[in-house]
This record gives sequence, structure tokens and C-alpha cells, in this order.
Amino acid sequence: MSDHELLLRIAKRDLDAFRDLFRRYSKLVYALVTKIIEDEAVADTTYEEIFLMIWNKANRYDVNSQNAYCWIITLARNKAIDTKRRQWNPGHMDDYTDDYENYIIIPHLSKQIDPLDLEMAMNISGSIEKALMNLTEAQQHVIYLGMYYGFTQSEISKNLNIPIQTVNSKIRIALSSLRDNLLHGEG
Amino acid sequence: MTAEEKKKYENLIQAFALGALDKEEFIETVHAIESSDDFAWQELGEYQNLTSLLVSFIDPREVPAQSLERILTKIDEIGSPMPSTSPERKTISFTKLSSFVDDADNTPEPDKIEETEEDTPAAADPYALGRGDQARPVINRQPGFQRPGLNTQMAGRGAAEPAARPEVEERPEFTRDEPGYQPEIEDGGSAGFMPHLSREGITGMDDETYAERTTEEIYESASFGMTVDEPYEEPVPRGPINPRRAQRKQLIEQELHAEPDDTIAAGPEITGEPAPVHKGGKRAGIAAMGPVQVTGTVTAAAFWGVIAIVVLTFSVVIYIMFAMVSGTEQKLDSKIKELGTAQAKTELLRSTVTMNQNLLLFFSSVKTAGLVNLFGTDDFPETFGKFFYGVKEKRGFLQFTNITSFNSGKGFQLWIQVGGAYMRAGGVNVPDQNIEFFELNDIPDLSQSGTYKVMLTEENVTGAETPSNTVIMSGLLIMKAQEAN
Repeated sequence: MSDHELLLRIAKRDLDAFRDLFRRYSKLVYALVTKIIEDEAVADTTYEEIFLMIWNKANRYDVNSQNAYCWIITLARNKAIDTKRRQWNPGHMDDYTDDYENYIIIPHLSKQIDPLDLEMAMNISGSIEKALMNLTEAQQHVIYLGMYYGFTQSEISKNLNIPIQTVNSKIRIALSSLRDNLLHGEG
Repeated sequence: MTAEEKKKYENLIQAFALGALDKEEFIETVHAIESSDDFAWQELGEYQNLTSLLVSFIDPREVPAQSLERILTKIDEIGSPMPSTSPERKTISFTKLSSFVDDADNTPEPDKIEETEEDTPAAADPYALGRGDQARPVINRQPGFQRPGLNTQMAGRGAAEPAARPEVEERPEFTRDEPGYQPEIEDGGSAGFMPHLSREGITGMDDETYAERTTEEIYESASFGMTVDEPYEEPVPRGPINPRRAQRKQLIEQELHAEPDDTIAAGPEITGEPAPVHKGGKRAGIAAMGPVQVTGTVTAAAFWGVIAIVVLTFSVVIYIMFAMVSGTEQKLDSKIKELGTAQAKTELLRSTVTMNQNLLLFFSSVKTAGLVNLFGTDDFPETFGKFFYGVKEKRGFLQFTNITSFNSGKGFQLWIQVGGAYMRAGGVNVPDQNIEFFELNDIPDLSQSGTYKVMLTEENVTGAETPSNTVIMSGLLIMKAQEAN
């Protein structure tokens, strides 16, 4: 059964589907969460909350996208980064409400996104890694700060002491290069 | 979307996909994603896939032990918005149970949980945990509702059941002096704590002797030496006997017991006239009494019979007439309702058209406007609404559908969360209609760009200072200044 079908079943409260999805994604999601959140106890809690959210919010998964992988990974990253930001800035974040979760944490996937699942992602992960290695160190660093540190453009700007427009430009160029590398087989 | 805006969002797409946008930019981009038809969807999709693929080459890490069990336990604790009748819920409960009862090292793997269900300690109460289709009917264990006897299926189950179950069952207590007393039999606990119901214990004899006894004897011996004082009821006479009938009965009995007499006998002169003379005393006597008795009895019966028939006929006629009238009224009611519904629909359509015009006027009169979609909460999943807001005018329009349930004395109140506090944005009293528009003129100042939570709650018709817990629908208002052309 595909990841997409599992998510559809989870939306219909199918616990067997949830178990299957957990077995597929738990190690990768846990690795992602622990890479973003250093505190292991917080990471453990967050990782469980992510799967709990997948169970509770599977009905918000866009069935037309057929892209369960992107939905799950983006959700996990959003949640982990939000938790990390709350650790940094306690009292400076919006209240974590259901609306907040729906708006900020649940991914807003594009209406025109190619289907992707874990198996496909694993098949091309080597190419992705090579394509990333082909970027400059500065480009890699910017991606890393955004991806795993949870820095926003303005925070990267402060961190690197460069204008925010430059940060935006570097992110755009880095991801565009990454995409081009993949498309042209340079990965 | 203007070309300038399009260019702006194209520059934000990569950072949005990376999750690196600041709050305001994020809100603007999401707003554009949700409201624009000509967004760069293809490009956004590619970058979203790309950033998620960056995770794919991280080395997977072993997850903490029993994390799935903990998640399933939380799912079980939180419950499901949609009631689940699938057997998996039972599995969760057992999983949860075993995690508490068993030693951590002995907890079964998630994929083996179903196999080990039968081994779950009996101390658990599966009736409380396995709700839904696994639930079994509650057996009344009060005295008089005991379990079935030894030869039943339940007795067979008893062998596998622990001797001491948690349920408390009242058991008849016998003293040694009582006939029903029987010492506890060591039967391996197969009967559990059930009262011993064998006839040997009660009657004190074996089956053969028992079979030879009459029902009365069995009842007598099974009385346990107790006497029952019940009020004796006199047999009720079948009906009153009138003096004539009693006299007649007496005469018949006299004649029946008298010696046969071939002589002509005269009957009793009840009527004062000489009785007809026949041979054979019995027949003559009966015949002599016959006309008087029969005539009177038939007259009364006929009278009451006629009365009964008249009453019955009258009742049937009344019933038929009532049924006809009632049916006509129902038809009339149905017709009236149809007419009323049609009229109501016409009125609603007319008001909707009018309000739509007002809505268009509203849009044409405001310079900056905000719009938020309001989604029904779990209790009102079919409800949907739109809230239009004029920034400078502090006026708004609330449009919603599928609010049909409406409690007496209650109304709805709109709230907007500004700076962490909920401010009243106006009250609406909704008739029982499907679609409504409401103009609100008490909107708080929302001139600053940002997000504001908008929600509709059920309140008393007089209004409330703070929102109640009955939230009908809610949404996030994304304010973005837009100069009207």
C-alpha cells in the first residue's frame, strides 16, 4: 500500500494504516527531529507529537497531491522548528492553538506538486546528496541554517551579518542550483 | 495578482519552501497561495519536493523503545473525533493495558499485539476497555439473576476462569441447620462461586428416588421446612343467583332426587295459573317453570344486547368520522406547510438578493477589506462562513450557511482576538434558515496587518462579555491592506 493510501486510511481512523506508516517513517522522522532539536528529551516528545498530529490531522492532507512524503516531512520539520523556536523565545511566540497548528504547522502544499513517497525519495537520496555537495559552502550553509536551525531570513541575516535581500538571494540561488543539478543529472 | 506581486512571491517561494520566511511574509504568501489562481504552483511544488528530499539522506535513527505504544496510548486517551467501531480500538486498549501491567521488557511488539490478546491478564476489564462492537451485554448479577446452571455453556467457561473474580455476587447463605445447606464441594472451582443447585443438595435423595415421587411430594420436600402464609382467597362465584333461579335450581334438585312417579303432577303455581300437565314429573316440573324463566332472561339479554350493539355501532361510526376528519386535517396541515415553506423560500430568496446587493454596496464603499473563511468546529462540521471586513469603516459582513440548530433564548456572537483578548464584534440572532447575511457595525480596529482569530460562539440573546465554549466556527483573519482602484 502506498504512503498516500495509508494517509487516506489514517484519515478514516485506520490504526493498522497508522502502524504501517509509523514503521515506514519513524526512523527518518526521528532522525530529522533529533537533528533539529538537540535536547533529546524534547526531541522524543516532539517526535511523538508529530505522529500524534499525523493521526489527528490526516484529514487535512490534500488527497489530490498524492505526495504523502512531502506532507509528512514538511509537517515534521515545521513542528520541530516551532518547538525549537519556542525553546529559544519562550513568551514571544503565538499561543499554540489548534488554529495555529492548522495554519503554521500543517503544510500548505502546492496544488501542482509531483507525487512522492518514501520509496521514491530513498531511491534518489544519493543524487540529492551529490547535488547538495556541488553547491558552494555558503549556499549549503544558508540551506542548513534554514532547514535545521529553523532560522528565518532575518535571523540568518543577523547571524551572518548580511542584508536580508542577500540572504533571500542566496536561498533562491542555492535551491535553484540544487534543482538544476538534479534536473541535469549533476547530482 | 499583479505582475509586481507575482514577482514578489516568486522570490519568496524558495524561502517559503525552506521554512525560512518571517511571520509577515509567511502570512502574505499563504494568503496568496490560498486566494490566487495564477500563483506559480509548479515552481512551488518543485521547491517543496526539493526541500523535503534534503531530509532523505539523513541517516535514519532507531526510535525510542515503545514510542509507538506511547503514541497509541495517547491516541486512546485523547479519543477519536469520529467514533471508531473497528477492532483496532480494542487492540489499543490491550496495548495500553499491557504497558501498564507488564514489565517493560515483556511488553509485546506492536505487530504481535493481536496475537497476544488472549494472554492478557484476566485482571483487566475488557468490557470497559473494548468498547464498541466488542462490548458484551451487562449481566444482572443481583440475586435472582444468577448465572446459568452447571450444564450450560457458562459452566464450561467457568473452568477457564479464575476462581476469584473481581465481581461481587451475592450468594444465598445457608446455615447447617437449614435443609438447603450443603458443604462446599471441591470441584476444582469449575462452578466458581455459583450456588450449588443440584437436587441432591436440596431434597436429600438420589435421582432415582426423586424420579419416583409425585409433583406434590417434591414440592412438599422442597419447601425447605418453611411455611408460607398467603391469604386464602374464596372462590369467586360465577355470578349472582336471583331468587327465581335459586328456587328453580332447588326444585330441579328435589325432582332429581325424588322417586319416579307416573302420576300426573302439578307444577308449582308461580304464575297463579294451573301448570300444564304432562306425564313424567321431571319434564312436567321443568316445563312448568320454563316459560317464565326463559322469557325473563331472554328479554334482559336482548335488551342489553341491543344496547351494546347500538353503543358499538355508534362508536364505530364516531371512530370512522374522526379518522376521516383527522386525515383531512393532516392533509390540510401538509398543504399549509408546503405553502408556508414555499413562501418562506421566496422570502429568503428575496432577502438574500437584497442582502447581496447590500454586500455589493458594502464592497463598493470600502477602500480596504479583509476576508476570512470560517470553518465549523467539530460539533458543527457542516457550518461554513465568510467574514468580510472594511478596515477604515469598521464595518463587516458575516455570511454563513448550515446553522440550523438554534437553542431557545440563544443567539450568536462574533469575536475577534486582538492582542490576545477577544473583543466583541457584534451579535446576530439567526432565524432557523440555511443561509444568512449579517451586517456588523461594531468591529474593533484592525488596521494593522497581521492575523486575527475570528470566531462565532453561541451566547445568550442579551450578549456576553467573554466568549462561551460553544464555538460554532472560527478562522484566522489575515489582514492585508489593499487599496481599492
